[in-house]
Amino acid sequence: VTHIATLSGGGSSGPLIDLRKFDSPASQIVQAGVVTDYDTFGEGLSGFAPHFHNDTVTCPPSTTGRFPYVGAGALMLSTTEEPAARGTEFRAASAYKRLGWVPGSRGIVQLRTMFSLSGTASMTTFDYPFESAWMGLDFQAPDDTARAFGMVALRADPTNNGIPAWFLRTGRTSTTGGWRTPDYVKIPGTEGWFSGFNEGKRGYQLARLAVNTEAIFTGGDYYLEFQWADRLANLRGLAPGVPWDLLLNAGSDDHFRNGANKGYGIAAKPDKKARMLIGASMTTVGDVLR
Amino acid sequence: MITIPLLAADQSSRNLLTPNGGLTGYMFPTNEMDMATMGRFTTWELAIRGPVNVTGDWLLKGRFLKVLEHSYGPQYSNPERYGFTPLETATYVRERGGWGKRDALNPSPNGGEFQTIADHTDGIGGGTVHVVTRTVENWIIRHVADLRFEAPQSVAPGLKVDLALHFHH
Repeated sequence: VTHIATLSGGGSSGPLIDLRKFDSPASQIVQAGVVTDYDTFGEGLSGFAPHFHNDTVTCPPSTTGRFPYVGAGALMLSTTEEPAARGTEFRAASAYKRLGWVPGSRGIVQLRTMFSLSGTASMTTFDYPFESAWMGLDFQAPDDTARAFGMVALRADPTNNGIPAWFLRTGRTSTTGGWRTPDYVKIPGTEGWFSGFNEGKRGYQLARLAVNTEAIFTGGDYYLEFQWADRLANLRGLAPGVPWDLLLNAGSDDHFRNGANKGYGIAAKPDKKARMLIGASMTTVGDVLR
Repeated sequence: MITIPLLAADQSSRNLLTPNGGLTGYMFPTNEMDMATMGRFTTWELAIRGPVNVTGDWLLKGRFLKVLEHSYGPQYSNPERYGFTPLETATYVRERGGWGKRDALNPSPNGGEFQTIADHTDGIGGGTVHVVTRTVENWIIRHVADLRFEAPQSVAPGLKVDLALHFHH
């Protein structure tokens, strides 16, 4: 096991908490890589940007000083406050950050996040206001041959009275095909793996997604492992193949060649509000299987 | 300093202001943004490119509303919106007025009432763009602009605008 160097920080970011220290001891992955970015949102959006050319345009991200995880701020994604009859184009909020493809990007990439959810809450039933709250890693190879946009999403589980569980975005998309609705497969055993909305306290929760980008070159499992709080789920074999391998605008300047992004998003049910706060977000490359 | 675009005129089929707000809604930003965390000042930049599918009269009116977060206790907060008071407008809006057209030397007091920003008499469209800016000191954590487009004699009209927020110190 490679020694974990102490992260240094300071300024308005406040004390840094190395999220790698929360990796489950039962993880199939050993820390051997490097931190490529670490955001605690003490000042500004830390490189996160809204997608302007899709339907999140009028729900841009902001920072909030009210509910930080560490330091002075958090990234806030919030859905529209307009009634369902107005602003019908705009229901979801998302933001992404460009990570850059670096040595080590081919291999195991992990996204560790402290996040919280809040919004319109029912006092008597399970009727959470979000349709999906997700985090993901989106990579397209520098040689432009392959792409994978994987994500884990907290979504209502129709087999469990709508109580949310975690799902993987899955399904292959032909490299010549166009847009289609993503498919999702439930991660077994993740029912109720989320923090309650009690009094809008916005409790922070830990999530860790591990993927292997080697799968887009030589095949194999892209999704490796998911951790929520102290719970661990093995993702291997759940979603065979590479999820969402649509090459974006290949053959034009607008292709996603050498793309490497992380992202977060939340979509609300009609006439409900939902918020996702990102208190800390860390990406590593170069970790290895045990 | 950061600029957040809200509406882009070149995305006009989806970003048009419409009388019923069906596409974009009325309130901007449409979602919860903690403006006071983003910067000391919010500068609104509204570039009115021109009406679409409009015959006859049209106007765009607007007002500032502040957002109070604590109407239902500090936990399950249901925000309430109230117009800027005349004193708040004079104190925190650098232009010392609301959204209305006016002589810069004669700022109009505004208590959050709708004021006409532009209308069909201004010759907007066909390359003539009317740009309006307002700068608000973020004394409260967030506020919104309520923008209403009206074209009573038209069928399915819209107004092409760019709208952006600049947060700065």
